[in-house]
Amino acid sequence: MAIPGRHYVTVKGSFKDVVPIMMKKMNMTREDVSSAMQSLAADCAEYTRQYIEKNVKRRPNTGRLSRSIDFTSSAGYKHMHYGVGDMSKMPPYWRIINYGGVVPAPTRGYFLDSSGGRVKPSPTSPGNQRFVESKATKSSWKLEPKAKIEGMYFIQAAQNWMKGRFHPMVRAAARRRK
Amino acid sequence: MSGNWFSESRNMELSLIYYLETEIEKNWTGVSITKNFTKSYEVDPPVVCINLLSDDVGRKEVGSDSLKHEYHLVINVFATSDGQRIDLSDFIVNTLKTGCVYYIHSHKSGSSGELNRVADGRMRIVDFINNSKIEIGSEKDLDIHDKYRHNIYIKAVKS
Repeated sequence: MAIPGRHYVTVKGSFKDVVPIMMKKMNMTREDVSSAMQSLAADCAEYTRQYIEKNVKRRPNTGRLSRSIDFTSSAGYKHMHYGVGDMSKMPPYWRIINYGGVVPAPTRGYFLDSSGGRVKPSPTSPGNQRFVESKATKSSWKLEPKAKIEGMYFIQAAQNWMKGRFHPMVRAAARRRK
Repeated sequence: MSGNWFSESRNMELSLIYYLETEIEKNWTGVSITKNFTKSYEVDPPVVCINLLSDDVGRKEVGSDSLKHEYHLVINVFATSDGQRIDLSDFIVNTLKTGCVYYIHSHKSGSSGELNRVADGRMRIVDFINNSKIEIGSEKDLDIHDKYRHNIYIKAVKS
């Protein structure tokens, strides 16, 4: 459980071996296992979204990263698969937000104030406006970030959350069946 | 926390830094230790950055005034090559598996830079939540510190 995968960044659970064990030893039906896992994955996605929003350092934010965290599920006869955080649906900057570091290359774009108007950046004093990437060369500036971004570690927080809930969830489901 | 003694959270962080600093110094040469993420970029790699990210607090029992703390600590390894990254992170994980001594720290009288340490139990590593390479982008665009980075995320308790 809670294996960091290549496709699902937050949590990838594949229950090829676990499902028959849960069904036989705990007298759970496939539907019980499936519904318990699905609700756990949905809760994990919600927890990750809230964690990101709670730890946003610069507001107003677009909420693009937190909105992109969702869960997917697929269930076969003996196999169930749940994933939270699909890399292909997440904005490309998730790695730098999660782990921190230096933004790789200079980027063009513009700054927005809280009312949505464009702001001319000052090269001498740091502002608190949000940067929006844009390929247009008119009314845009080249941003060369110098400050280091500290990591948010939302993936690790979600993995920890999931680890703490998987076994109690299985135990509770098994108790309900008895 | 009383008088000049540091809080438990701060002691956890400092105890881990002290332990890893001592062990790395004994077994490696030229590795710097920092506790500030942004400061790590001001030092030439290899650098190991250790800091406390959060403290998960909960009551030990319903209605109890005793609290249960679980500390989340992040160790970032900034290496000079992929081989060094793997060796150094393996060394850190193996060093941490048995836990370390928990010290209560305080400032030495008359010197705010130096610390007094008094052993007070052990720090136990209850979980290794993450131990993986960090790939931020293509190597040629990256800062020298981000090229060979590794992240170890642990959960620790005082026992």
